[in-house]
Amino acid sequence: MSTRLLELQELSMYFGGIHAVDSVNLHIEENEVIALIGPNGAGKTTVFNCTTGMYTPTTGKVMISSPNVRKQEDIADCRPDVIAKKGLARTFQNIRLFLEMTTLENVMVAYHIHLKSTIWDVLFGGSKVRKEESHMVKKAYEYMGMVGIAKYAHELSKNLPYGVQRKLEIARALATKPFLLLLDEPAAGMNPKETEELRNIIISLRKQVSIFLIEHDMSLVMTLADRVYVMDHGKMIAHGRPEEIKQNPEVIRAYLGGDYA
Amino acid sequence: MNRNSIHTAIFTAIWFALITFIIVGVQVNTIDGSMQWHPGRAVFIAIVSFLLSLLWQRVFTVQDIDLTEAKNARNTFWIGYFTHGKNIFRKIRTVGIEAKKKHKTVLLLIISIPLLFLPLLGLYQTKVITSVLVFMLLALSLNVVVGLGGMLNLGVASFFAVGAYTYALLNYHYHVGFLIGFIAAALVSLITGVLVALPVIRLKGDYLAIVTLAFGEIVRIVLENWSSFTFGPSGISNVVRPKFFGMTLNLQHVTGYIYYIAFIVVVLAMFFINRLEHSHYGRSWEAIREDGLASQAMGVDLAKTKMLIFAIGALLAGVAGVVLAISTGYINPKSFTFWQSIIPLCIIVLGGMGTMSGVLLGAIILVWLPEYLRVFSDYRFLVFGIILVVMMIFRPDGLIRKTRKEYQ
Repeated sequence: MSTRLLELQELSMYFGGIHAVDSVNLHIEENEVIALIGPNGAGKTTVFNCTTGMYTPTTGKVMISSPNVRKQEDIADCRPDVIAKKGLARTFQNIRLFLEMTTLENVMVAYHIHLKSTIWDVLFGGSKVRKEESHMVKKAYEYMGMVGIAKYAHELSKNLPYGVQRKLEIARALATKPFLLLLDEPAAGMNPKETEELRNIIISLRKQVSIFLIEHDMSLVMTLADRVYVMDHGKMIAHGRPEEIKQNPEVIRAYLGGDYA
Repeated sequence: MNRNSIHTAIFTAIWFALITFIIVGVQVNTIDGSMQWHPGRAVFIAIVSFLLSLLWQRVFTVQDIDLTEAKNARNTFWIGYFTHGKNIFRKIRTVGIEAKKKHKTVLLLIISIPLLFLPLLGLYQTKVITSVLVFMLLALSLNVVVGLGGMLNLGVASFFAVGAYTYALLNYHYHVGFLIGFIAAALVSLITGVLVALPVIRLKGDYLAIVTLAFGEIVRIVLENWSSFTFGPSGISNVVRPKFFGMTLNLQHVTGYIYYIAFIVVVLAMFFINRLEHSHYGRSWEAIREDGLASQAMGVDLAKTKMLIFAIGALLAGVAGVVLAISTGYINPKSFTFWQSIIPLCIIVLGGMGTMSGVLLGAIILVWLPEYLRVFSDYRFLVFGIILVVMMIFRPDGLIRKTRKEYQ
């Protein structure tokens, strides 16, 4: 039986009177690619923010169970860094890289949670730290290789082309070794060629990590996702396999207006 | 050794002798207003800089060695130093990191050897350089907090004061000696740093600046008004000077001794900060500066990391305070005004945020030079202002631009 890596139970997030997310239920199983779609302002990113600890949900539970532990726990009140250590990693809709640092360093920062050396090792130690560092650099190159940006290793990330920055966000998230990767509109602003590359990256990644995807590019969603959730005005209005979602009158109404349904 | 390098060396020698002549060649006796000339010193400097220049050229002008060759055989490389000659910078690039490291070491040696003999230049010079070193420490502290951590700290003088007063008061009230006093002062300022960090880590940008600024003022005002303990505005005089293995030194020697202490403290501070900066600690600090939320999402514990940054900054500033206390032998709250928070900030802005060599250069320009340009002292702030404005226009990143380490 496959485990539910992530399960949102009656998740709600209110900002004053605005119900950004309203009693949302959602689950992701092992080795799945799940897409969350919906019109602008539907509350998709808020779901992400609640899941990764940026917001503390008003009510509801965020249950995770990592494939290693296989025991559900509620992370609704955890800080983002704690959640990252538990194995959920995310990217951001509006790219948030460490701009004055190199590509390699960006990835290394994310890998830090696996390092063991303490401040005393760093101040007075020798080979142990060096070994750990060089191992980390090697791993970082691997992660950059996975998304095909290793040749930019020593460039400042602020100088990278837009598409590469997006890929770097993915590489950085991967470096935390997550069991669930949350991608917030990874294809936003990309040209068709870059989107195609992204599709291949995601296909190659899904062998190792489950993916939770927010995306507006429907061709990407329909070809990649095993199941699709649709949100509108903070509510989950539909969920099912991609071909079912395409036919769903509720979804068409949400996107195109009542007359087309 | 070819003719070119000798020409360069002679030119360097004359140049150095000339520009240092006003500093070492002329001594003004302030009591009877007479001037003493020391042409011998200029000749000495000329000879030393001639030799150093030759050495420098030897070290830096090695013919382009193949990258792999240089990497594979260190021995070939060292021989290369003494058998080849030509373009410095191209070579540094081609030979790569190994070579860069060695160049840096040699460069540091060349710079630090004269500093080792500095007390021979006399009491005044030694004191001036000691105060430069104190400000270097303060700037190093800010370099960590502002340059790497990205938290604008306008109250570094408060930690400076905590260090100095802890040392002086422990000594006055409890007759604590130098070494224990030094450690205690460092610890107390570290703890103060953590305590200040507790409320401060929740704040960002301007708000953080205002709170630290306020803390700086609070410390100064407490020191001024708590007369029974801190002796208020009259301060504490006769702060105990360190003994040299149990011997009490005379003024001349103790000044030199304190200079060496300050020198060693700065070198150690630089060494450890450098280690931290290029470890996962330093990278997390920079990640926080660049994007707090993103770094948190990547597993950086914001509160803990910011606390550590503040603690290290406070520790360095506290140590600077101890050095100030022993070098002047007298402290009062006027030594720890807002201005003492601003100068180190100017130093790192001028030198280049987050760069170690920038700190050194900035401290030399903003603390050392004004000592020798006393003639213009009325215009000092004007000149500071102009320098900073010009800087912001032409080199907003500071004199020394940060180069990223290339991890291999």
